[in-house]
Amino acid sequence: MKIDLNLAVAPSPRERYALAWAAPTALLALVALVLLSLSALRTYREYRRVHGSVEELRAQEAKSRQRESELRRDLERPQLREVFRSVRFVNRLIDEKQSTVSELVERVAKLLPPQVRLAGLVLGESGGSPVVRIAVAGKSEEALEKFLANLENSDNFSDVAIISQGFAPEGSEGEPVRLACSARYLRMGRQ
Amino acid sequence: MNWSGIGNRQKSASRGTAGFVLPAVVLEVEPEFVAAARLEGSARAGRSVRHLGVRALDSSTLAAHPSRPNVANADNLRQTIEEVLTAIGNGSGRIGLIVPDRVVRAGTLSFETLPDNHHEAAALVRWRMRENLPFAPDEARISFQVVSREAGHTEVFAIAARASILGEYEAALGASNGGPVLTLPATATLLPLVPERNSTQLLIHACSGWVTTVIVAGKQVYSWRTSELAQTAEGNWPREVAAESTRAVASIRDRQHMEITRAWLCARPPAEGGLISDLKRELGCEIEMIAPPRELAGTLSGEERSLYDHFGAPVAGLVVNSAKNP
Repeated sequence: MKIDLNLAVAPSPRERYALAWAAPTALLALVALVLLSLSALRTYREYRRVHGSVEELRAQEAKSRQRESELRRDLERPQLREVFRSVRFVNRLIDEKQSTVSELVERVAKLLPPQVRLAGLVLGESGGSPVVRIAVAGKSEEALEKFLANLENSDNFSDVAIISQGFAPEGSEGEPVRLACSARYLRMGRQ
Repeated sequence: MNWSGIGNRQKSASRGTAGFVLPAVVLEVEPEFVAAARLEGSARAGRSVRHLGVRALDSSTLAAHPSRPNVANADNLRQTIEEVLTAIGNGSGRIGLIVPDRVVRAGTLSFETLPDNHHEAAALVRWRMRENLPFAPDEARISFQVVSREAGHTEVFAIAARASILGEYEAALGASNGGPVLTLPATATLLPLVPERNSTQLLIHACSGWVTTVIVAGKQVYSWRTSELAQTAEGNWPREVAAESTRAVASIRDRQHMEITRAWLCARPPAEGGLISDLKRELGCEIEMIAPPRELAGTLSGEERSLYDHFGAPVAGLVVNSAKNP
C-alpha cells in the first residue's frame, strides 16, 4: 500500500525558498563586501598620502621656524645690529643715488627767481639723511629772500639754514649779493 | 523556560503538515532502542540503505503516550541519537523521524463529500478525528490521504498526534537539523511492504512492548489498533501478540464481515519460533514475516546487514514507498 502521510510540519515559503535565496544573497553580499573593501583601501591610501604631505609640510614649517629663530638670534647680536644699520644706510644711499643730480638741479632751479643764479650745489649726508648745500648769487637782497622763501615752502626741502650771506667782491657787477644755505633734501617730498 | 519551544509547537499545530518526502537520513525512536539509517541514491535512480546503526535505549528514558509527556530523560535520548547519527555519518542534512505507534492515533473516516481544497478538507478531517483523540483537536498535527473516492462516498485514512509530543521528539534531534521533514509512526512505514491485494490482510507489528494490528484490503485501511503488551507477559509476549491479533480479526469480522486471508508479521526484536505457530493456530491463515528487501541493502557490511534484517523494515518500507511516489 502506498502512503502519502507525513506528520512533519510543512515548511513555510520562507523556509522553502531560504536556501534558493541564500546563494545569490551571499554572492551579492560578497560583491558588496569586496567593493566596500576596495573603496576603503583606496580611501586609506589617499589618506596616507595626504597625511604624508601634511607631515612633510609640517616638518618644513618647523624647519623654517627654526631657521627664522636662528636668524633672529643672529640678528640680535650687537655686531650684527651695527652691520644691519650700516646695510640699511647703504641701501638707503643706494636708493637715493638713484635720484640724479639733474633732478636735484631741476628742482632747485624751479625755485630760483629771475634775478637769482645758482652758483654752487653740493649733496652730502647728515644724520642719516641727504643734505644739500646751495650757493646762489642775486641782483638784490629781495631776490635772495624770495629764493629762501621758495626753498622753505618747497615740499622737497626742509630745515633750511643760512650758512653765509654777503656781497660779491669788486668786479662782479651782475650779481652783487651772495648767499650760501643748507637744507635737508626730501627726494620723495613731504610725507 | 523555553518559550520559543512552546511557540514553535503552537505554530506547528496550526501550520499544517507536509506531503510524503524521503530524506537521506531516517531516525527511528522507540522506547527500547534508537535506529538510524543513511540512504544513498536518488529518487529517479533508486534508493538503497548505505549505513544502519542501532543503539539500545534505557527503559527510563522514554515512555510513549499519545497525550502525556514522553521524554523522561532528554539528555540521555539526545546523547543516544547523537551516537547513532554519528555512527552512520550524518551531517546536518534533512532527516526523517519514525515515532512509536503509541504516540499516534489513526483512523478511517467516511465522508459523503470531501472538499477539493486541501485546507478545507484538513479542517473537516480534524473535526472528525476529534472522537479518536485524547486531547483537543486544535493541538493535533493531522495527516490524511484519500484511499477511495466514489460518487457520494469518500474514504480517508488519517493519522494524528499531539504537536507538543512530536515536539519532544523533534527537540531531541537538536537544532542543527532544523526539524524533521518526515514524521511517521513505525507501522505506517511498514504498509508499503504489504502487497496490494484485494483480499483482506492483517499486518502485525510488535515492537518495544507494544503491538499494532492493521487490517487492509486493497488501498483501504479498515482497522488500526495499538495495544500495550501485558507487563506480566514479558517472557510470554508471543501469546499476547497472538491474542491481540485474534481480537483485531474478531472485531473486523463482526463489524465488516471480512475474513483475513493472510497475515504479515514484523517483530522487533525478532520473534522466536513460538509466535508464528501461535498466530497460525489462533488466526487460521498464512503467516509471513515482513522482511526488508535484500536488494535495498547492497553496500551494507555484515554487521549492518544483520541489523538491517532485524530493525530495517521501516526504513525499507519508506524506500519502497518512495519508489511508488517518484
